[in-house]
Formats: sequence, structure tokens, C-alpha cells
Amino acid sequence: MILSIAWKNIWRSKVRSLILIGTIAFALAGTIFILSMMDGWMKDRNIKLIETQLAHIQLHNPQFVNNMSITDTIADGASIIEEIKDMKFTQAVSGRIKVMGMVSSSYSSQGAIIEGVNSIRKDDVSKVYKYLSDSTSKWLDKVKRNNVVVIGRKMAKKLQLVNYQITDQSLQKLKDMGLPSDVLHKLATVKDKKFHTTTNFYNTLEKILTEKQFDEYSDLIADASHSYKIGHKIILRMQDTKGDVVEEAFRVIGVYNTNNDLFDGMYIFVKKSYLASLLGLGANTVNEIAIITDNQKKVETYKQAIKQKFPSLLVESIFDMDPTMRIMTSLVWVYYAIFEAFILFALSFGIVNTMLMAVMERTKELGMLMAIGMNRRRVFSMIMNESVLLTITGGILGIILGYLIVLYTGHVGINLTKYAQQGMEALGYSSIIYPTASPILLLETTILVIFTGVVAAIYPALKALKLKPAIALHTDV
Amino acid sequence: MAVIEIKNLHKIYKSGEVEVPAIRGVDLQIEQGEFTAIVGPSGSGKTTLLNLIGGLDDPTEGVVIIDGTDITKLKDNQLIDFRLWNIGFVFQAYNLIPVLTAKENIEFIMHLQGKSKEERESRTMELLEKVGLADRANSRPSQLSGGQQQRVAVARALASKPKFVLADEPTANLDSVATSNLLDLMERLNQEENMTFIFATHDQRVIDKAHRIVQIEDGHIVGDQQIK
Ligand SMILES: Nc1ncnc2c1ncn2[C@@H]1O[C@H](COP(=O)(O)OP(=O)(O)OP(=O)(O)O)[C@@H](O)[C@H]1O
Ligand SMILES: [Mg+2]
Repeated sequence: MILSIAWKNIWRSKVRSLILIGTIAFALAGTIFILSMMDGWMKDRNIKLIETQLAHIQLHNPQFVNNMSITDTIADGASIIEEIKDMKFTQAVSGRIKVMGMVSSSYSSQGAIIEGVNSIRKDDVSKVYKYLSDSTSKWLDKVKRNNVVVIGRKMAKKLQLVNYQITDQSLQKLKDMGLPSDVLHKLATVKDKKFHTTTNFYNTLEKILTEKQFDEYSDLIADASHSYKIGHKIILRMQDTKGDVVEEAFRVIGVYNTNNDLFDGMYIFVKKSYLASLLGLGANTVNEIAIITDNQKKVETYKQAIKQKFPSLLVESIFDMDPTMRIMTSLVWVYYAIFEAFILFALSFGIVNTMLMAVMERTKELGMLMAIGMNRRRVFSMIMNESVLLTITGGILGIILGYLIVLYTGHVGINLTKYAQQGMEALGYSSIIYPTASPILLLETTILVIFTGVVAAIYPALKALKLKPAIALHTDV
Repeated sequence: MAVIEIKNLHKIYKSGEVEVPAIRGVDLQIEQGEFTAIVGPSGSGKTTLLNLIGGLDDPTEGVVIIDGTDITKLKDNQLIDFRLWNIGFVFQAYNLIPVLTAKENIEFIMHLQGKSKEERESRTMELLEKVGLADRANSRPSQLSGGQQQRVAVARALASKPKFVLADEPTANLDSVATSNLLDLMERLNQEENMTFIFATHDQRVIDKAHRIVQIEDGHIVGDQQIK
């Protein structure tokens, strides 16, 4: 009954209560959205990192990490891989060969890490094939020839393996992105003209656009109107196990894009068996073994198990290799809590204010209730209930609203390309964010909302308890 | 034995440096079934005396014994409980919880007493019949007239089966028809249920109905007549 009275009391000042509920709801929805955006962003980064580079656990020759020398290999790689396959937590394991080298196109030369992976994609831990940039790109297993290579978008740009052409399609795309019509008109003047180098294309843009327009839009325009020179030949140069320089021509069959400039500009992928033969490595030899386990949270335990089995190898978990990931996984709830605590602290002033008003304007009624026999515990609990109900109502609405926004934006994605593509991708973050609603976040929000409702009500409720019925009844409000 | 026994009661209000003696040595006995009016001019101490009898305020000196219990010795929380079980209140205004219906307002006090749902409902209906508001059971106070609200307050006061009902100027906000209705009702309940009523008033219509009139002036009892 006290609960039902409390609920009814809330609606005595409809506008005041609705304002507070609305404030709480919107503040929480916003908080949930922002945190979910961060969460989605981090998860995207982490998944990409796992899929394209680190896996969950990696094994190396302890010497390898110092200088990536091709002689520091895991000689009996094939048998170790077989043993790891039999460990019950292993979901996928594969051996890789990584070697530093130089890549040259007819335009320029770049340092690169050449990674030899299984040519059959389902055998490999690496999932770079998921990130092929367009339909003209192929993965290694689609081509019979051996001397083929898949390179990253950034590498393609560095090597000038990009053509540019403004087409109706690219103009439409730019229009959708919100470029001013003035810029679009200017671009239309060079429509269908082919540019074979980045430099040429940018020079032309610089000529037709104002300085400001060029600064603001040239990268977006380049992005919308480029195509890769698939089938172009590049030369890979590296040292073999004897120390001799090996040079070989490879055909570019695909370009991938993980939205991480550091990775896309450095890693190129070739068939492992072919790379091994070029380097003079035995068929069973690899220099990196990457493992995906059944549970990312247990990698530290799994790491120990593997370490015991192979004491001579360096075993590293994803958390050793990427400390950010450790923070993200183990401390993310603290981060949520701090963020939300600030918001709710601010909101608690509104709650205190509303509840104080509710107590003050009901002085006579509270005096009457205490006079007829409602004890202090019950009066206290009535005020508490009002505050908590008010807060929870706002809280639930906020959580639902926030969750819906997260579901929607998580589905369609938030495209920040226009604002910050370069900065973010240089740091390894995608510029399209897919917010994800983490259950911890929703649970924490709920708990913190209730907690806030309780804490914020204490002062007004104590105020109510201080009332003396004989005086309260005769107080003019 | 008297329901209420008051001995040498004093109440001095202190507001800053100033001391206001509101009750100055009152001795009074109220028997079961009385229908008593405490009358006197404004500021004479009627409300103060009623508050002391009802345990809403503590005296500076003296004792108030209700059915053998000296309520001046009770602690705050015990006093609230004592009021809940032993005293019915009807105030001049603000008697009812505005968000509850007439029926719920009457039930509320029995809910505080922890009475079962069946008992609450049957007693509520019985009382609503008695005060003639059975058809307004589901109206909120704001939908009732002042007289109807006071009748609900009387029903609420009786719902807890108290030893007596204290009413401080219950008719102050009522017109003469509503006043006489309310008085008839209280008198009937006094007779049918043998319920003790004590009201403070300076309303002549109320005084005319009283069975005993206690006159108070400047915190002293200056007259006490049994009429009926
Ligand atoms: N809380 C208080 N603090 C100080 N003085 C008070 C207080 N309450 C009442 N008094 C004083 O005590 C005296 C008696 O007041 P009380 O309210 O009991 O009179 P009353 O007979 O009920 O008057 P009325 O007919 O106007 O209601 C008055 O002089 C009043 O000013
Ligand atoms: Mg008075």
C-alpha cells in the first residue's frame, strides 16, 4: 500500500515529475549510447586485431621477437601445430612465416612485412580475406599461381597502385556524403578522366578546387573515386636463410582494408609454401604459430598450459601483445561506472530538489499522517519509495531508449568518415562505428540508477522525519 | 475508571526569550461515552490541550493518563503507535490523503494496524454506510464536498477502533447544513457505538449539541457543566 501511495504521490505534480523522469531518461539514454559507441568501437578494433594479426595466443622462437630474423624459426612447427590442435580449447591453429622485406612497384619502394599464410582460407587463423576491399579483389586460395600477393589499401596507395576516375557513381556517393554542390560541379568538369597516379589526381583537385575545399574534401573525393590496379606486378625483395637476397615478381590479386593504416600499410600476404621455398625453409618450418581458443577470457590459463608443453618457445597471449586489450576486457566496467557515476551525480541534484519540494509542500499532510499513527519508518519508506520509483521510471525509459538507439545505430553504423577518417584509422580505429549494447553496461546502469534514487532521497526523507505533527499540522505552506 | 485522566497539566511554549504559558494547571477527567466540547475564546489553549491529550505534544508538567497508560512517559515511536491504536483524530482540514479514495483513506489506518484485508474491507463498508457515503466510496477527497470530507475523516477516526476521538474545530470550514449533518452523525455514533468524542470549538452550533461543556480561558478551566 505504501508503494502504491508513493506511486500516486509522484503524479500529484505531473509536470515536475515528468521533467525529472525525462531528464533522467535522456541523460541515461545518451550515456548508454556514448558508452555503447565506445564499446562497439573497441570491440571492432579488438576483433580485427584478433582476426588479422594477433589471434588469441602466439608462439615464437624466443629470439624471433628481437629482430625478426628469418633464421629464428620454429623448426618442428608442423608437429607442434598437430599437438596444439589436440588441446581441447583450441578452435583453430595455424603456422605462419613472417619476414621483413621491400616491395617495389614501378612508382616507388616500401618496407613491408611479408606474411606467408595457408593458402586454404579455412585452415588459417588469419581472416584478412574478410576485409577484401571490393569484388575485383581475390584471396590467395582463388588463384592457382604461386607468385601472387594481397596487399593493404594503404600499401596500394604508397605504391601508387591506385587509379582515380570521377564517375557518375562517385559523384552520387559524394553528394550523399553531403559535399557542397559547388564542389560537385567542379568535379564534374573532370568526369570520366582517368588518373593513374595519386599525385596526378591530387594535383588536378588542387587546381579545380579552392584551397579550403581541397583541404577539406580531397581525401573524401579520392576515396570515392579510386580503384586498385589489380593484376599489376610488384617486386618483393627479402633475405633468405643463407643471407642471400631473393627477388621475385608477384602479381597483386587483391587489396584488403581493415581501416588500420599501420597494418594496411605494412602487411602483405602470400602463400606460405611458396614463401618457404623462396626463403629456403623446410616444409615443416614456421616462425609464428597463432591459436584461436574457445574463450578469450581464459587465454591466460590456456597460455600456461601451452607454456608447460613447449617450454622452449615464447608463448604470448593477446593481452601480452596488446595491453590495451587487457584494460578493455578487465576494467571496462570501471570505466562505465565512472562515466555513469558522474551523470547520475549531476542528476541526483535534480532528484533531491524535486523530493524536497514534494516533502515541503506536503508538510500538513505528513503531519496528519504522523498524527494518526504512521510511524517514522513508514514515512521514511514512503518518501524513499517515491524517489526510487521516480528514478527507476526515468531509468527504465532511458535504458530502453538508449538500447533502441544502440540497436538501430549498431545496425546501420555511425559513419564518422567525413569528420575524422584519417586520424582514427591511423590509430587503428575504424571510422564507421557500430555501437554494441553490453550487458554489463545495462546491468550497471540499472544498479546505479536505483542506488542514486535511494541516496538522493535520504536527505528529503530525513527532512520529513524531523516534522513534528502538532506543528506541521498548523504550518502554512 | 476514566478513559482520560489529566492531572496538574502545564504547557509553556518557548519562542526565543519569550515564554508563552498556554495551559496553566489543568485537571480533567473524561469518562467512556462522553460527548464533550472544550470551549473558549481564541488563544485560550483549546488546541494545546487537545494536542496534549492526543500525545501530539508533550507537557511542561503534569500527566495525561489514558486507560491506565501515562502517555507523557512514552517515547516518540511508542507514542505514534499508541495514537494509532488508541486515539482517533479529526482535524479542521487536511484530514485525508488526496491520492486515495474515501474507501482507501479509511482502509489506510487499518492497514497501518496490520489488519487483514477482509477485516479492512468489511469495516470500511460498514463505516461508509454509517456516515452515509457508501455511494462515494471510490471518490477522491477533491471530488467530495467539505462536509463529505469531514464525514470520511470521522469514519477514518473510528476505523481503528480507538478509545476516543479528538476533533479540533471539525466544523470550522463547514456551512450550517454540513455542520449539523456532521454533528448529528457524531452524536449518533456516540450513542450507537458508545464512542467518546472530545471536540475543541468556539462554534455555538457545536456547543449547543454537546453533552458536557468544559470552558477554558487563559489556560485555566473556568467552567465544567454536564448538560445531558
Ligand atoms: N507552537 C507554539 N509556539 C508558541 N506559542 C504557541 C504555539 N502554539 C500556540 N501558542 C500559543 O499558546 C496559546 C494557546 O494557543 P491555542 O492554539 O491552544 O489556542 P486555541 O484556543 O486553540 O485558539 P483558537 O481558537 O484560535 O484555535 C496562544 O497564546 C498561542 O499563541
Ligand atoms: Mg485552536
